[in-house]
Amino acid sequence: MNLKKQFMDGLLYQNPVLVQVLGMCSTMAITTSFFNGLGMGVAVTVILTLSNVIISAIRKIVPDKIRIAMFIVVIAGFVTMVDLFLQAFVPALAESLGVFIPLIVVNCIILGRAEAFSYKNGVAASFFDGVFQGIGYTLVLLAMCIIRELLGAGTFGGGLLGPVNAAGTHMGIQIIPSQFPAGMLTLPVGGFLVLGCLIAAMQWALSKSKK
Amino acid sequence: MSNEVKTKEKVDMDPKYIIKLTVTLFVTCVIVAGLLGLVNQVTLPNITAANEKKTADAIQKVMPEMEGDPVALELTEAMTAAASGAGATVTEAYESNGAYALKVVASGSQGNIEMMVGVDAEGAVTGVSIVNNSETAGIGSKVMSNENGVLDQFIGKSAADGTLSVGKNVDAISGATVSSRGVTTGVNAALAVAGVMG
Amino acid sequence: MEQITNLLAITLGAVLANNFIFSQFLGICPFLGVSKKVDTAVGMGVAVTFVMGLASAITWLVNVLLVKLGLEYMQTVAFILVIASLVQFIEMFLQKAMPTLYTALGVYLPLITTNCAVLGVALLNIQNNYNFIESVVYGITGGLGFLLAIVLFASIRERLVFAEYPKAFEGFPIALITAGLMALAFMGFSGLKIW
Repeated sequence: MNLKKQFMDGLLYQNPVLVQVLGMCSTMAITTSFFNGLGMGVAVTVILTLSNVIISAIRKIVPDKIRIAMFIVVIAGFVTMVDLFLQAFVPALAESLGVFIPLIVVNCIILGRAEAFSYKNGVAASFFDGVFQGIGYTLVLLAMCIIRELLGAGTFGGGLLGPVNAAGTHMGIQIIPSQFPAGMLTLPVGGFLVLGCLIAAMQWALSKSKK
Repeated sequence: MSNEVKTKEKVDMDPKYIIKLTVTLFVTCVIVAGLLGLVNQVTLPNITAANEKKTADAIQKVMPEMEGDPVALELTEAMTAAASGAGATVTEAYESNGAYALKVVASGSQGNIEMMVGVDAEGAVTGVSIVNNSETAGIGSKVMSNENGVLDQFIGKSAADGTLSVGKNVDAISGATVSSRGVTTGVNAALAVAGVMG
Repeated sequence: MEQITNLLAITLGAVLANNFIFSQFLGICPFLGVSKKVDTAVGMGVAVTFVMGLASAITWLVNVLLVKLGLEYMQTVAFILVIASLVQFIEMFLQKAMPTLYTALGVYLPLITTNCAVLGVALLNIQNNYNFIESVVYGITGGLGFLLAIVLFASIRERLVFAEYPKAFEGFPIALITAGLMALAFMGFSGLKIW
């Protein structure tokens, strides 16, 4: 077990979004405010860690032929638990993430890590893999949120900081005056463009560091 | 991809092995279902409370002159018909002091908009509050969060104003015409329902 | 009549204005993964449409059962199991009954289980309170929207080979930028309403 390598892999060299290109749907769909990104990132990290540990623990007794089905049941179970807890204790987040919480079930990061890592490795290693890959995912979400929010609405920390509007949500701290931002970036278009540029930057950086 | 391999082998497998697989899978499902049942029991009261609070808050917002707890009313056939005639669905109705709060669902640009509309005893709108929506962030969401008082413009409108329609007697937020239309349809439906309730 | 207008509105929304790919971000993985050639894109699109339609119908019925039993919280688990077994079943059926169709679609089927558009449509049907017919129509037309998106995208990508762009953008980044521009175009449909 090599913690440092796992850490760097999760954050950089094997980053789930930027390098493995997994879990794109949620990455683009919910990254419109800081609060959403943080909530989604934490939810996925928790689910990924739990399912990694359980799958690693039961890997010896799971018949090989139905392992995918077993993985899906385990993952769906954890997702539902997190969903219920969010609805009960953080209803505002549950509402703004909507259908994308249950959709974590089919987030390829979780099934991908189950198949590629925890099914072949020990419990402790799988635990750290879950935590680091989750953090790597969360960091990308936050980067997306910050860029899209800042350039698209001119604010920072939407959903968490700043003045409260009539609907009771925080609007974020206005950094760029509201007549300048390119509203397009908070729309679906922005998700595609910003993620495209981030992956390109990552590819550029990786090719540079190899030289 | 591994799924693919799985199916092809499954076709000619030993029945004993198949039974073993089925039992394993079944047991897992039962365990997961049991755990979820437990979690559900813990969280259910909170979820119900959160939802009830949301409804109560929305009612309070749209019924400024509410006294005590509003009474939930049974939906009658006439009410349902009046709402669907206006292009929306009425899901809940509350009454307090002759004024009504109606929860209606109309379609917006991204699925449904669920809103609470208050109507006073004279049949005029006393407030509109959005309960649930999935409108586009940054555009339709402006309507949902009552930016520039776009929801407040409905206050005081009544059936006497005729059918409300965007561009005629309702102003839309630019770029969010569809969302504004959705809310307008909901208000029309609420007025129609209040009309048949007398 | 009203029912028909309603269904037409769902159709227009699902195919154009609220396209699953370009406005709801559902099913991005196969959209990016299987869109290098037009003919594979068509295969994937048809398979997804087929599964989405069937899954909408079955999960709607399953949900009725869950509500009756008071087990709404099992929704996600039940839906994903239904979808996984449905895909497996379709695969076995095609393999036995229609080998030609199987060779055409077979490779895409296993990928569909983890396609979030399928689970997404099942959950959205419930969230939007659609009745049985509306659900099936939403499922099929949502799939057609996916088909339209992936075929258009694949035909652009085939031509991208000849384009010149910075090396760092090779692969996914340029695909995402292209998809972003298409999303911008599809946004133009959002003002579309039939009445």
